[in-house]
Amino acid sequence: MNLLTKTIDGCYNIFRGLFTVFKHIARNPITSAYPDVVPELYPQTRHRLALTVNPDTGEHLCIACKQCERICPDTCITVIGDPEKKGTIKDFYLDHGLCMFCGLCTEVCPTNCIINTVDFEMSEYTREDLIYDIDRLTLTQEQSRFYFDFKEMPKPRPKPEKKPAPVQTQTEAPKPQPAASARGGEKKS
Amino acid sequence: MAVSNLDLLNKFRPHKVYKRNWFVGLFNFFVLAVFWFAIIYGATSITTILFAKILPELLIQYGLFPLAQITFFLAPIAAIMVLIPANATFLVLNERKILALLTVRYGTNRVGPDGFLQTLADAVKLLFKEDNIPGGADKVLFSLAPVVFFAPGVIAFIPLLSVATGNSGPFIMCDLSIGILFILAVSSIPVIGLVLGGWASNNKYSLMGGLRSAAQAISYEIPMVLTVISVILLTGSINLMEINDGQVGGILNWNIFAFGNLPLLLHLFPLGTGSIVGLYGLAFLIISFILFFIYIISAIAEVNRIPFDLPEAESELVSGYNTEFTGMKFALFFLAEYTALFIICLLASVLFLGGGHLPCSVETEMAILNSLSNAHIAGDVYDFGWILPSMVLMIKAYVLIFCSVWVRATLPRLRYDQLLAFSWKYLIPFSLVNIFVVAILVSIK
Repeated sequence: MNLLTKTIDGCYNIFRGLFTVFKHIARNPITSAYPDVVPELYPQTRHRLALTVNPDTGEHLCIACKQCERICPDTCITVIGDPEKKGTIKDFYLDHGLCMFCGLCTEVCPTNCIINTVDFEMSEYTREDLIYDIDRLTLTQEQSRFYFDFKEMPKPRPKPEKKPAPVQTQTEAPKPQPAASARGGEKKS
Repeated sequence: MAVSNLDLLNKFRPHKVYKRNWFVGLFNFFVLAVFWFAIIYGATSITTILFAKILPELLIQYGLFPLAQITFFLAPIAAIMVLIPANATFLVLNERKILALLTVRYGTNRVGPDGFLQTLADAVKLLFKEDNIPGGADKVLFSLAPVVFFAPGVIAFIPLLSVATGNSGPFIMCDLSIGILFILAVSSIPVIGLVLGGWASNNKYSLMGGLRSAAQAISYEIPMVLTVISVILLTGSINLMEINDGQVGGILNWNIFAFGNLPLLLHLFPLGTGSIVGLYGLAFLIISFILFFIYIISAIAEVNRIPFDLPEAESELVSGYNTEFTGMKFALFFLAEYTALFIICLLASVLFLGGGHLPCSVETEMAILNSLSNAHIAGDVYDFGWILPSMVLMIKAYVLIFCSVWVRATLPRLRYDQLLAFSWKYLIPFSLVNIFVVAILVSIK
């Protein structure tokens, strides 16, 4: 008798499982067809880093304040300011091979210049190709406008034309040079 | 480097909308089935016509009568040799599509329109792959194993062809008087192929898979044969054609419904004098359902399908007996596996589900058959009578295959001791009792 009840119970459970699986035929697939359909990403997603320009004037927004370089836990950012003109960027190196996409640099940036884009396809053939220079990092005007709208960041005002106290630039100018070259040397080796 | 290569994924990328709902999935599956059925039927019938008609006529023109006769008699084998690969390619695709539907995925959709040609691409890839024999393997047995595994599938098809084509044209010689026995005898040979392959590849996983398959095949062959013996007792014939023709005329005449004894159930309803006869019919009905389910269970175990796929349990053994096989040898293993499944399903539909007969009355079926077998095309009369039974049999077999895929999507794999205990402790005694009861019931008649 025990065997009989067990058999009936087992058959019942098997058929219930079969029925449950059969019901799944009438469902839409839950997997995504990635290369065909790009997933809808949210504004806060943290992927490849990029530098924005002013969407209206096309001016580079980086003021070379080096806060991102200082806060970066992986030390993957190297900012080289223009020695002649304070507040302008000369070169900017970002090693995506080191970056862990924590987003601290984007939080600390005073001008919303460095941002996390939604582009996550950045495979390369060598590690050196993952070190992006300023040309590859800087977005176009149109792209910047898209990201300012997408992330709902405040639109930047145009930079003031004149900077007072040219003495300070001369004193501070020699400082970044050795630091930047040392960093650069480390990366290449 | 000067050009910024950042593209904004959501904005600048071509956004091809690929949202499939379940209805479109089912419809695509239907289109796929029609497409592949057309390929299977076209290829097989062209081969058959070539071997049965065109080549013999050509040879007779040159005066080679014995050769013409040989080619005519080779027609069924040629048909099988074309049918099996074409059918297996569709079976694999069919299985993957159904699994995708059942597990809420998109499934195969890369090669061809909606993945229609995926298995064709796989087959081409396998044919061009390097044929690698591992060091330390027994070279002769290693090459022999896939053949031993595959060849019985081809041979076991022969009696089924006569049922499938309704004994027309060159297939009339496939009508063996010992059909079922032939199929059972031949389809127990492939186990040797598995054991050989497992042993010859000099790999512990393959060896384990081979041993398991030997034990499993022996355990599950017995209940299967016992159920088939019950069927033979009930139908009184071991000729597949006779069993097939005994089920003509409607769904209630199928063997799964009390082996033609269903009208006896009518005696039950005014309970009284005739109720003993009614009970007799009821016993037949219960017995036939039990027979069908035992047959299906042991047949699925016999062809090593989930949940009985212990010989190639990929989570325990790497891939079981075919771990070391690549290229054409692996393709042969693959082909043979699916052919075995197809044969099992064909046999089930012949034994229990009415074979090549439509679930309608005899007159309707004969009318359709007559119109098909006297088809007037361009002034000539052609015999297309074979299309109806083969199509019906195909569809029934595919329904059963769908069920096996459905089971695969549902049930987990059995443990090894559970597998053997289930066969030896429950299925075999149960089917022995069953055959005893069947014998009593038949002798009462």
